[in-house]
Amino acid sequence: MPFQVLQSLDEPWVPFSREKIKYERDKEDPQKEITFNVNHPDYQFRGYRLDKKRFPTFRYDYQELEVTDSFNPAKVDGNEGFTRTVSIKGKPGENVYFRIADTGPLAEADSWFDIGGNMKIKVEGAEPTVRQSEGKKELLAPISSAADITVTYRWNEPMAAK
Amino acid sequence: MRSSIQSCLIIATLLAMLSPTFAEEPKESDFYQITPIETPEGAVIEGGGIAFLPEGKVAVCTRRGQVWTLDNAFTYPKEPAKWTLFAEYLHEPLGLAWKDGWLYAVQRPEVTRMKDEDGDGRADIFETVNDDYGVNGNYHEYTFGSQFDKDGNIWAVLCLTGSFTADSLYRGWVLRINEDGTMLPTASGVRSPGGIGFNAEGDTFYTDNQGAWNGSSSLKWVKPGSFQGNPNGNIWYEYADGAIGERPKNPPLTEGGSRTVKERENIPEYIPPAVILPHQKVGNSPTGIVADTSAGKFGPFAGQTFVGEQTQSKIHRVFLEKVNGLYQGAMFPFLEGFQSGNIAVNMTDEGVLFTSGSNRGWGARGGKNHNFERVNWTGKVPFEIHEMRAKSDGFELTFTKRVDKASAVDASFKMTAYTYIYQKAYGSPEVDQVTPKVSVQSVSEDGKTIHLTVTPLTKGHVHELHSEGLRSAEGKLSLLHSAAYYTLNEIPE
Repeated sequence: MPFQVLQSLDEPWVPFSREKIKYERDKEDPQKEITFNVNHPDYQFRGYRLDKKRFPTFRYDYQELEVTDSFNPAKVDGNEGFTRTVSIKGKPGENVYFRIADTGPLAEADSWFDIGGNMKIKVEGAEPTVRQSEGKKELLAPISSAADITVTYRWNEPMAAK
Repeated sequence: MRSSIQSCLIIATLLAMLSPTFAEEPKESDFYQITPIETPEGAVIEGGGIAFLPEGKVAVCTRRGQVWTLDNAFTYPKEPAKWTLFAEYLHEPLGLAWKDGWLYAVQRPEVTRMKDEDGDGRADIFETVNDDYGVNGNYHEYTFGSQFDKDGNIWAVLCLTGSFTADSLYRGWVLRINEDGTMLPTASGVRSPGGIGFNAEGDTFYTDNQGAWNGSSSLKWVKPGSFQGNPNGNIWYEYADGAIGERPKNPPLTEGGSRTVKERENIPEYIPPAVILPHQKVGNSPTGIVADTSAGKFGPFAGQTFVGEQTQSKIHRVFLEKVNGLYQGAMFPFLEGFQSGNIAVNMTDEGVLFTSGSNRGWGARGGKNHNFERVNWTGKVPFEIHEMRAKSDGFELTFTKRVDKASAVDASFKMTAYTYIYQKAYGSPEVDQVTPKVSVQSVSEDGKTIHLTVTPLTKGHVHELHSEGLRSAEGKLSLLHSAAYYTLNEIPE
């Protein structure tokens, strides 16, 4: 889930929306419980649009926000990579955060964050901060108004041929 | 050795000489012609849904997640089949419908509408219409979808998880999904559907497959608010927000089970199968449903309902009637010999039927892994039972052609009646067999209606009729299909 309201940066990120239910016949058996996915009340997936190259731009709503999200291949400083464009329309509520990354050490150098996997990212159009939560680092950006955020993903060097 | 070959040759020659003196018994293909349509090299068109588009285009969605459009579907092979890949990477769509410039696909996890905005023949826009139901990756969580009803709804029927449990939201339910994006829980009690559609009156039916709580496969009426017999999905009543009322009572979960006739009295929401398709006898896996709304362009069965059969690669014909507020009726064999297991079935108002399917997961006759085939009426009328109606004392048969009155005698008809155990265990043998006495009460003046007295009639039983001895007035021909299977939920007054 890319967006969430955080009253403080100590609140954990909730990964998805699940509920539990029991069959009538299993009421007495505490082991027999079904965990099932439900649509998160704050999200609605709206679909996608394909461009001439058949690349998708995904659309979804988060609360009152309309979000589009698309990827395009790009060369970055001579290295392979891609850019991700997240366009947020509408007026966000209080304390809405956009989670950009939750992998790697997220150490910053020259505006590039190390997300592990031999890859770094750069964020434009938002002011990201790194936090420690649930045993790992996360890169979050507060969203206080409509925004166009560009995240550039870049491999550090070509992967060695195996 | 040599002399026996010579004898065989002599007999064969004699038979060949004699045969023109016998009336040739007609075959299905004299009346309905099946045309397999060539598909693109390498394409795997395992049809799950078929829609008719403007300008004579036909669209099919496949179990592999593609949507193809086809030009020259009606004129092939005079003109070559021209296929275009409209969309791909959908999640096993098993329903496809066209409305107001959009093509709607019922996918496992959502209903999606698609449009080709730039006119290159391929969809650019994919909009989620509704995703208020669950899926978890289990192979059996199929979602089948109907065409649009008159109120702008697609009816979606959701298979149970693994065909036994309901581990994702609304598995085992029928939902109505409106073009405005809203979803209305509509019926519970589904096991493992194979298709959903409407009869000519616009009421909704789905096919459910033999297994737990289904003694046999059948065609079921989706009366809004009804419980269709399998209680495993009934946990979702607490999520349905009262859309169809309180959770019904369970049928008996004990060994040995019950009977549908009995449980109708215990569970008011329970609707018994409208037309049982006796398992193994007529098929193993019923699928798509379409009404003949061609007003005679598909032959003499206008207003009747056609049902696909996957395992035996057939199309069944069904006559439905409502007695005491419940649907029931007769199933007749109609057409076999398709190249693979039919799943999607649809028919144009011009009386051209298309079917497509596959043998993947469940084997099918025909020898091909998948098929896309067209059925046209040849213009000749087969000698068939046209309708089979329940009467207070038996059945009334009408025929597509006049019968030979000399053959309309008691000895021409044989009937057995039976039902199935209604139980949590898988399937059921035929049980409670009855052999009713059948006698000809009357033959109409025009020779097209026979009233049979049947003693006894048994409520809830399949009444299986064989009219082997009956002949047509003209040509003294046997019925093209002499068997009929009537499910007698109610005996009329």
